[in-house]
Amino acid sequence: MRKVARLARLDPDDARVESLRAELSAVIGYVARVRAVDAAGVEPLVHVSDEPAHLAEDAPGPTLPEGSAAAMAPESFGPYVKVPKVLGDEGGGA
Amino acid sequence: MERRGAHQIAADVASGSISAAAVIDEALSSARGIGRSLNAVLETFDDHAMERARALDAARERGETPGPLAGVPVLVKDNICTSVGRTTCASRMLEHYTSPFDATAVARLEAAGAIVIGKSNLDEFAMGGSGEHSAFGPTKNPWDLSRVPGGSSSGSAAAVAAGIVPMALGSDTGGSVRQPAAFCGVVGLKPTYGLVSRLGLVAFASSLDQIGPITRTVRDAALALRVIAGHDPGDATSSRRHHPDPLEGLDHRVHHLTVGVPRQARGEANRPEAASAFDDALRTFAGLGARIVDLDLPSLDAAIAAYYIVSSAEASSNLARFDGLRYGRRAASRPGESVESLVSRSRTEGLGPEVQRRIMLGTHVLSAGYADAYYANALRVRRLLKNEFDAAFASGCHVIATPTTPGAAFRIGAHDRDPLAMYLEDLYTVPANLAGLPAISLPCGVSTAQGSALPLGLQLIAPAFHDAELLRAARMFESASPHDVLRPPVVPAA
Amino acid sequence: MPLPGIEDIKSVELIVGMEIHVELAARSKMFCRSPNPAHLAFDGAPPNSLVDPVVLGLPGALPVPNRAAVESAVKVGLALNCSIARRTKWDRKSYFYPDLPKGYQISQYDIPLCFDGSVDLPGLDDRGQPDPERPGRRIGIVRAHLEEDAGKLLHESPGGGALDGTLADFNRAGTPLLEVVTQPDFRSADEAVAFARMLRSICRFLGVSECVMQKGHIRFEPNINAALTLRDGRVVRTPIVEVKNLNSFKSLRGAIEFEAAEQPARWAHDRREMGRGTKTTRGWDDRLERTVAQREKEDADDYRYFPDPDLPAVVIDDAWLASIRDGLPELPAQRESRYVREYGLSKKEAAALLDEPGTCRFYESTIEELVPLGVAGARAGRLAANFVLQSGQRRANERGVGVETLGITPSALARIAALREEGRLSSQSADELFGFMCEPENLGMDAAALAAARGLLIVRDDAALERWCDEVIAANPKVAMDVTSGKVQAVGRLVGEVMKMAGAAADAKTVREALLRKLTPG
Repeated sequence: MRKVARLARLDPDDARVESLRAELSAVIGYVARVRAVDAAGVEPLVHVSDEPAHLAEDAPGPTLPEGSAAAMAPESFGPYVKVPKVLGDEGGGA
Repeated sequence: MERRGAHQIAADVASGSISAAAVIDEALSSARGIGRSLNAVLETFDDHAMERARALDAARERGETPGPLAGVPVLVKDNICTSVGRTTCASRMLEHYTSPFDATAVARLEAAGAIVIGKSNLDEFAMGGSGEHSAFGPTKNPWDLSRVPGGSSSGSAAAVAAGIVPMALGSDTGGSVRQPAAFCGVVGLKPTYGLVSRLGLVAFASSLDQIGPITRTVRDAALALRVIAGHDPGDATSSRRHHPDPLEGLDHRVHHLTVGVPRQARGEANRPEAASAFDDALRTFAGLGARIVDLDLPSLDAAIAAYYIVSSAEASSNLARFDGLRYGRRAASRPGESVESLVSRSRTEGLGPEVQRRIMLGTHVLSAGYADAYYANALRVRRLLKNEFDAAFASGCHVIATPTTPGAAFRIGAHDRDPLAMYLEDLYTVPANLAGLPAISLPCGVSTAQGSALPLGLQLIAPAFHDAELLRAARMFESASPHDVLRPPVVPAA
Repeated sequence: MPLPGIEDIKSVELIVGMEIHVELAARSKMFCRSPNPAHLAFDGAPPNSLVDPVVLGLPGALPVPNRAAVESAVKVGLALNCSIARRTKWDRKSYFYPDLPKGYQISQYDIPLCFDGSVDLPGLDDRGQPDPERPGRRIGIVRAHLEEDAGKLLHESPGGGALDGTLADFNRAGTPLLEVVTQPDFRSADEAVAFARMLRSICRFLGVSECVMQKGHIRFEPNINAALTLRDGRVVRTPIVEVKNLNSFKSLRGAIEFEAAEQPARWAHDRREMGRGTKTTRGWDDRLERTVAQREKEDADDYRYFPDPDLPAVVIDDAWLASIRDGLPELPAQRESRYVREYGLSKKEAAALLDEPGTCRFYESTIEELVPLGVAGARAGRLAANFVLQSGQRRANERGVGVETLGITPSALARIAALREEGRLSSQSADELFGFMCEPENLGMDAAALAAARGLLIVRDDAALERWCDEVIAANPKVAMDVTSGKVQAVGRLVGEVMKMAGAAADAKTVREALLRKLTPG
């Protein structure tokens, strides 16, 4: 569960962790019944409609007013959004 | 005035027999009064709404044609973006967030003359079936203040039931419009997936979410749908399929109406009051000349499981953007702290326990080693379920009927220790989301089995894009049933 | 018994595959209509000015794919001889990083838009230049798919100076990105660089990307390992090293050559072989000219790919695919063959004309303009090439611009070339006239009229020519005698004298012929 929490960027305190673990166990135990369903050869269904995507024309549209990103951010530096120092190279996973 | 339908208000405002300003003034007053005591309303747009009302009155005096919802006061669930006021999703994470744009559904309502008077309370990020999971306090059921109004569109349903507004927008991912509508004795419609734009609806589970109206009458639901439905190029999942006008022929009965009833709808999950209300409802249909047929939808047994896997998976991804970096709540910084730590703290502080549970579950079912067993299989169950529905409709059913819920509204705090027990209450509503089908909840009875008078709902489900026909079947029931407009006991203002 | 060391390596075979990211120059972004900084019109926009709710990942925002970006990707796929998926989908790749607003990147996982292609690299000489004598290599293209780029992080204050944090600029977030993945078919740094150049050229010729290296429009990630044949006959493979984010040919070459030398030594030291979990990621240090280890990322690889529920399938029907295919311009490799075959240009000349799409367009337009002036076919190609590569290239280099932006139009150049072909301009005058026609005030003027006005046209005054020749012969009896007695080359000096007298009004060829006629009997 620690691993899942880290992937999800959640950090429940020790008091919460135990009850969370119990709750999740119960739920996972219940939802596991999907594994018992006889679904051999059935394709997973992600989109209920098979209408293909409507693609947009490449016409540049309106942007947010200049300064919006900095104004919305809890911390900013000029026009930039400011975050704690990041170590390592650009593109964490790309 | 508070008991008039949207349809009537719009007609009166258009004719000039009442001013939009008077209507809005009263609605705002209710919203601030009863709305707050029920904790159904999070924010009122006093200045904005009155300004729009006055502008509307002025336009009418100039001879301009008013829209179909002219002067109708509307509440919008606070997970739907409005450029006025805040859009908090009932979360500390977005407690002070203001959206730079309006949801398409909101823009369409306003273009039709409706006036958004404020935002209604909800289960945080639409995750919940009771109205107890809001960061800003639980909403109360106007029928019994010790009970839940249902969720996640708790405030919208409570407000319509209490007569604050005739129409409110909610969102429905696993029953979040229909279930609170049932608990509060009002009408709640979940349109066919793709019929109403999701642009501006803060995503919970993208393949399941739909915005839907909560109203007191079927006619008002049809009116709302007509205004908000239709293709939006800003939403890639928005359908371009032609769909019939939901208002046209609303009062025309469906010829030889065939109502399918899955045997799973009469299971042991049903508490006695729900079972008997459902039987009464079927008798009403029979009395209208409808044919009732038995169905077997075996995949219903696994529907809740599939729903919680799929919705949590999508939610865990949709809520990853809430990291406190670009907007929203950021935890107080600590010197030398890494970004990872700051993000984790911001999310843990800003997101409530139910939301965190779902994110954890969703992350787990998508993670390496588990995705195949859980996520992929859940999607296979989904396809099986959809196939079963399609087959049932193809065999001649116009609509499929079930109780909306297995029982009436439960007490606030009843499921506190057992989230799973709460999830199991969704058994009748999640299938329509999984299959993308339109579904409506109609008041079908009042039970006093638990002490106070509590409403129950009948659910009807129709094939995809048959929303108009669904509404006609619903109208048939409504006109024949003695429960057409339920009134909860009057709630004293705060 | 000592463990095998570096002296036990008999031979090393370098194995390189590449992932290349190309920023597409659509006008708007991949999943929203925010202007795209990879398009010249929006290049250099102020930080966080090309953002909208989708870019910033605001609540309620939804992605809508850009049709033009899909077309661009298909074009590149076709140019790489790929199969095109007729029905493709989008997937979410989840990870947290401050430059990734949604906490996931929209990409393509198991059904890429383009797949199973190949490209034929020409044989290369020792300097990495194309050599028709050497055998080429077919490079397999595994896939080319679309995704969105992330924003940019600054670790220092933009004015210079340290910062107690990191700054995020989301202009680049959402830019359409084409990711091309090759098979590990390269066997040398030269081959990898040649392919990188070829892909860049293809993208520029297709008009899908500017591919300006310094702007990071094209970024390379080689995956490098080696097969070491030991003296005992065993073959061991070194663990794969991925070098991230190289944005110049120089650093690409440097990284591969560094790893080629380092990996055998590394293996001798730690004996680690290629296998599950042994792939590492390194960066390139330009100053030290070496690859450097990157921080190990925990849980780096659980991207939890799943189909994006906000985006239905993209369908590419027959009509659309056919229109894209039909609209494909001729690719550089095909053009090069054609220039050599039809115009008799050398490969080197052809390559020089194809280095920049602008130059190539200018060249071909000039040829087109020559046709109505009576010069066609091989002659037109030859003439236009001469002018573009000499008069044009010289000035272009001086000014640091492309030939097509010097100011001279293809139609004006065609005029000059035709005049030269007719013998009415000397080669020097033609070059001078070229220069005049680059000047803005001469735009639209008729080249012949301008030549006449500036006294550049050769006047076919045979009488004058005869007179000048006679005068020069008379003034240079000894040289004249040399020519008559057989030293034909000596006529050159006399030609020079006549040209001085004639100014621009004579051309060297005609003068030489006239002198020789007079001085050599028969």
